[in-house]
Amino acid sequence: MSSVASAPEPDLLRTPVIGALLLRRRLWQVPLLLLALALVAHGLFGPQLAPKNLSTLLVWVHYRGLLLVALLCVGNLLCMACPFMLVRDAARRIARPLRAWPRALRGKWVGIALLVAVLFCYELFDWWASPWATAWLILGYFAAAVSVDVLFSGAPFCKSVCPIGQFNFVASALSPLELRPRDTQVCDSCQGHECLTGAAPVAPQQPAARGCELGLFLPEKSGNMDCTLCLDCVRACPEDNVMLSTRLPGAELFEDRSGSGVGRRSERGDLALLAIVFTFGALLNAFGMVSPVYAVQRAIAEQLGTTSEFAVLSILFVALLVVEPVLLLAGAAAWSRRALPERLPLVKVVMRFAQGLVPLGVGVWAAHYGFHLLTGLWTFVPVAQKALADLGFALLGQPHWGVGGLREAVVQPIELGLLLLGAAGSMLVCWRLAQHEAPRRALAAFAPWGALVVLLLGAAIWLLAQPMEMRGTFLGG
Amino acid sequence: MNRARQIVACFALLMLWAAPLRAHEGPPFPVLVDEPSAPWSISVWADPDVGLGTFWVQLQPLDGHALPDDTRVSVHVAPADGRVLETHWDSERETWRDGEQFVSEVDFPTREFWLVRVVVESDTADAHVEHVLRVEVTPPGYGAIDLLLYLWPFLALGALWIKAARRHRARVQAENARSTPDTH
Repeated sequence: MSSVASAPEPDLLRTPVIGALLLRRRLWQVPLLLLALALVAHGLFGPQLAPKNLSTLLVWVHYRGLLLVALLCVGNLLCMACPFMLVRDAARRIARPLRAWPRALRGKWVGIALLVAVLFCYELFDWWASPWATAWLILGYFAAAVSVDVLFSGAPFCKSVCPIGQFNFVASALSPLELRPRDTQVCDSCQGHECLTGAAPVAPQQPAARGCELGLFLPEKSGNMDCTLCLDCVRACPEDNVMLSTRLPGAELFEDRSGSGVGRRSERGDLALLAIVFTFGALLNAFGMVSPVYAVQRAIAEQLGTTSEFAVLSILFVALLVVEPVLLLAGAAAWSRRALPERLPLVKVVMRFAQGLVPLGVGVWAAHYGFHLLTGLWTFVPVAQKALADLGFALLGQPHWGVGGLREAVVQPIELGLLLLGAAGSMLVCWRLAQHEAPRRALAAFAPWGALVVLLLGAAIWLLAQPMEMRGTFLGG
Repeated sequence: MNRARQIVACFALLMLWAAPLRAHEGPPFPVLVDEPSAPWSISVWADPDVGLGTFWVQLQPLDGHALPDDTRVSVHVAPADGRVLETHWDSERETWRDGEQFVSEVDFPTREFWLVRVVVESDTADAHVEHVLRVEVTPPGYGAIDLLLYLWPFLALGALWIKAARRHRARVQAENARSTPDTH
């Protein structure tokens, strides 16, 4: 970590208005909590047709798209504004957690399992089409966050359990902003380490400032992994020495520094698996909503002589989320290993290069969710008008059903742009990783991973060129 | 002209070029929602592109019974100025996740306002219901122009990213060189 450079780095926290807004977390959490409650109410008691219900529309069309927009333009803003943490904090005033999160469950294993489970259940139960199920999913999320964090100290729900959080942590590697010390020399002389341990109240009436509950010690933090952008470190630092500043998006994927609370990415099997599930899950999730998937499902069902969707989906998930990645990654690793100076087990080679897939994964997720967001951009307007009118508050007038979103001909180039950008990022990261792992034969070490990126890019372009279900925004979607 | 002015000028040019928002563009949208027309509640969704326009008609029997097998839906379209006679299009009945719907594919040769008459009939239910809707038919897209217009910001962003990565690398190498003392 370098000291302050001669040219001052931009600091969003010291930017007028924006800085003040970012530091008031409740200002974001309270409206989102109220919105979540409204979505639960409308999901349970409103119309049960997905395009006419705010819970399905805002969760599956708008929230997911905006999540990625925020991650790519700023950072992990939606973790910062997470309403689950507001309820958790309130619950912790009643019951203080006394236990430590079990060592066996640390890392990302639980979060990865839940991320896969969410992807699976989304397809199996058609969550996007069920306001009722979406409302219960939100309630279940609140219950899980409160249960875990009331029992266990720190923030184990965010760090190890929350599937959305794990998704955000991976994607935030491409965020243009990062929290870091303003001046490392100030940190060098720090005795209290308040950014990690918290700070005592300055005055008797004031609350104590919380340190990083995810165990990130700011001077040794590297990248955005595990950072929820809660800004507790900013509030706790007595020297006001924390800034939210720009950096090269994706640099943390190839620099492979040992970071506080995270360690080295290349040595953590759970982070490699998370990157793999994130990338191949993006393709699988997009595959689940294009027309060829129905032909594949029918073929599997006929071969097995079954009508069980659970069985057919299980086979599809095992094929695309286990068999396919294992074959492709093992092939690339075996080819790449020949160029490495030391003979490593294939698993180790995969662990060193897996982060290179992340930018492409982000591109696929952004293209897919961007499609839903942009084609259904304004669909929440008439649905909100109708919901208010049903409650007797016709404040917003009669539902203006004609508003929709951008036409597909506009959205498709945007999708292609996101995919190409993601692939370019993956190429860059894989190239830098190859240069690091095999300085003398970087091209030979890079070639298989570059080929894999091209192959996955081709698959993604083909997938997104298929007729796509307009889930949640359209009657037949 | 400085760079800020250039950016503002480009943005203003794009705004002038942009199509007015009043026309519908995008995915299918509802033109009739839960309209009670005994014995059904009717919803109609439309995707009225120049060339092929599509209409989805959903019927919910008000008495809660199943939809009769002989229920038929047809769509009749004519330009709103009445210069051409109405054309008639049948629909296909199909099942979907939440019930049944009728889908009609209609030929719209020109971009303008059209009057769309949706007719629902059933001998068993002894019913004949009509709704006349006014929709604006818009082009599906501009082909290669769309591709160029919406793809170039991503290409520019990619070039910027690569440039930043090169500068980042040069800076890291310079820092490493400074922190490694020369032993010779």
